[in-house]
Amino acid sequence: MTGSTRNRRGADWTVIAQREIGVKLRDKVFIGSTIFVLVVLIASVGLTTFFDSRVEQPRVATVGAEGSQVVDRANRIAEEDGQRVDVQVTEVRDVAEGEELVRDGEADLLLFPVADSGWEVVGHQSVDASLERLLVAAVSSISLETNADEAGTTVDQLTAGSTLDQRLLDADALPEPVKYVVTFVFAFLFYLTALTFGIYIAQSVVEEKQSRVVEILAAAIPVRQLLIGKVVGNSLMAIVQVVVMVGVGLLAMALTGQGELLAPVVAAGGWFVVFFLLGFAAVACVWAVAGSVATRSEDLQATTMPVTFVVMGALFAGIFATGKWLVVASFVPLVSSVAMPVRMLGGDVPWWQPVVSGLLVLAAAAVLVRVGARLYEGSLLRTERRTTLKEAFGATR
Amino acid sequence: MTLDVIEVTRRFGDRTVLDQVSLSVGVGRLTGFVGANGSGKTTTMRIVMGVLDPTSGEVHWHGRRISREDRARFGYMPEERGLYPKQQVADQLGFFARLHGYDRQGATRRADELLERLGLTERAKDRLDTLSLGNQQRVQIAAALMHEPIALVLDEPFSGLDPLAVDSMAELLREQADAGVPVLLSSHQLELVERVCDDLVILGGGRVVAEGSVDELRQGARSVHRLVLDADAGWVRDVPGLAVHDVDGRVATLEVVDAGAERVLLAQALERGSVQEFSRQVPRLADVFKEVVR
Repeated sequence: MTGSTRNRRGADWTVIAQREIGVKLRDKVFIGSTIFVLVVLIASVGLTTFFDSRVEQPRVATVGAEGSQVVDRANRIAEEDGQRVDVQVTEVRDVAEGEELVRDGEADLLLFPVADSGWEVVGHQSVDASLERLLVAAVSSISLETNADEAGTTVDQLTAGSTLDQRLLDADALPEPVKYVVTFVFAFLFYLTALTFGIYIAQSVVEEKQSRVVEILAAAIPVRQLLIGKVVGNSLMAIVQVVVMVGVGLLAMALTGQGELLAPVVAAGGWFVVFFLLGFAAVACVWAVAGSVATRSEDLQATTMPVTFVVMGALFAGIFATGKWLVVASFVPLVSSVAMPVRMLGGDVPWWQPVVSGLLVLAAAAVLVRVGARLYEGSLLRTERRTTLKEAFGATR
Repeated sequence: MTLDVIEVTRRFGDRTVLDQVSLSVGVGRLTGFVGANGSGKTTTMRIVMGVLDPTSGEVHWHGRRISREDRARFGYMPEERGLYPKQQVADQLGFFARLHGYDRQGATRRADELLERLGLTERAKDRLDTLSLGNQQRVQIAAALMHEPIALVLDEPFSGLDPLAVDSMAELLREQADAGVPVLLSSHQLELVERVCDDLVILGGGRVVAEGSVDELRQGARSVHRLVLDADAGWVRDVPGLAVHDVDGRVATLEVVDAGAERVLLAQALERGSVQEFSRQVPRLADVFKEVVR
């Protein structure tokens, strides 16, 4: 028959991992939710770019040719400043006509010169602050020129010695708000993915236990292989999802013209993926145990609670820890999955630190796999009720 | 023999579920494992498969301690059906074959082969939980047979099957046995085991209470005779060495307690008139069972 195609030994955990992946890829709920998240991401990028690239065209009614000059100057200042504003001008005969236009909503503002004191703007119910700033700049720039002329000097002479140059000691570091956002996104991605895929692992374990497939599996291959297969399969799926999301996020930054921020974020993003993979593999073992000490899917909520807390701890440590605490957190396995990349976003982390932290996670993962497999073996084959940790450890195998 | 369970004891806490259980399954033999609910059949089978460890005792395969590799080549059907409800039939059979070291092609081929043999080819792409219970059971046996097992351990393979399905399952198992595969199957349907199996192991309260071929066990049971006379048989009650079960007019059913008493009985009967029938009733296994488990 088919005896010749048999190839005993060695393929055990890969077969399990392949099944985990295959089942996930055919799971409509999984596919649907992934597509949904991606669509939301892409849509938000699209919307951001759309709003960012849109040129504002406020309409200003002016009395007299001087008003048009102010608007021209305002447009020039806006252009030099890189603002996407193109102020439209409508000349009116007098103030009354201009006010009429503003009241009817035909114009956003009315601008006219007032004898002696300078200029006046009239809005309907409010005056747009950024437009007002622009007009103020234009008016003062023109007045400065005029006044300089009258005083027999030039603007350059008048403003000599008034420039303020900026220089950054750490030009590579991310601006504080960007850092905050990126930190939050990283931490939340880890939290979300660790939680969803963690639950998948726990469910997949308890399902096998509940349907007793596990007896066939345990008779066919060592339980540790089963555990490794599940952890590897789900970690791969998780990492693919994270890479796709981080990729889309970075693409978003590139598209929204924040390309100069890309380099440090990509560097930290790369580390994030590495730490995520390590941390997730470690936490996945704990999830598998959480699944195996439950008897039915209904028990999962209770048995997975401690793992959820650990993952939440990693999230909060990444977001809220600062200074010394963040340094400490970046070396604590699991918590470091978020904390270390976050530190690296800030720059100034010696190269050996992420390496050491990574090795610590690896060591923790190795221990967790062993402990996990033991607990898993001990508890998996008790299907009568929830198993206490003590019983799982004590079970002879 | 081929597969031996040797003095296996299993305790769960203070409760002794198996107490010094020994049994053997021979090459080419269908061995039926019977016993009341809770008698320890499932526990024994799980210990044979290595999914549960015995408190003491050993399982041997071909005269030495069974190894993980030996067990990996066994076919096993757990008590509660163990398959993935939401996976396609052919898919999961392929998965089990690959778990046993088949390559992808070989696994697919083997799955197709077995599905055809079991008449399930049209359902190959269906999810398991859309199949009827009987068909799910067939998939279950297919899963146990995927890797051409060297021994079969089947916990209640007949439960939930209609009479036709029972026959085809029995035929399939007989084929396996004829091919030299030792088969251990548990059941609480005694008539069925009696019809299908070669050997029997009867478990009661965690102990083996009887063991042997079906014929041997029947022989060992107290033999019941039926006597039909041409006149009232009431006098039979007075013959010594007999335990009379029932007298109904000319018909008596009785049990020979002292060897030789049947000859005395027959001689007296012939003195009184003619004997129309004197026969030994072949006991049903259910009676044997009740007797030994009692």
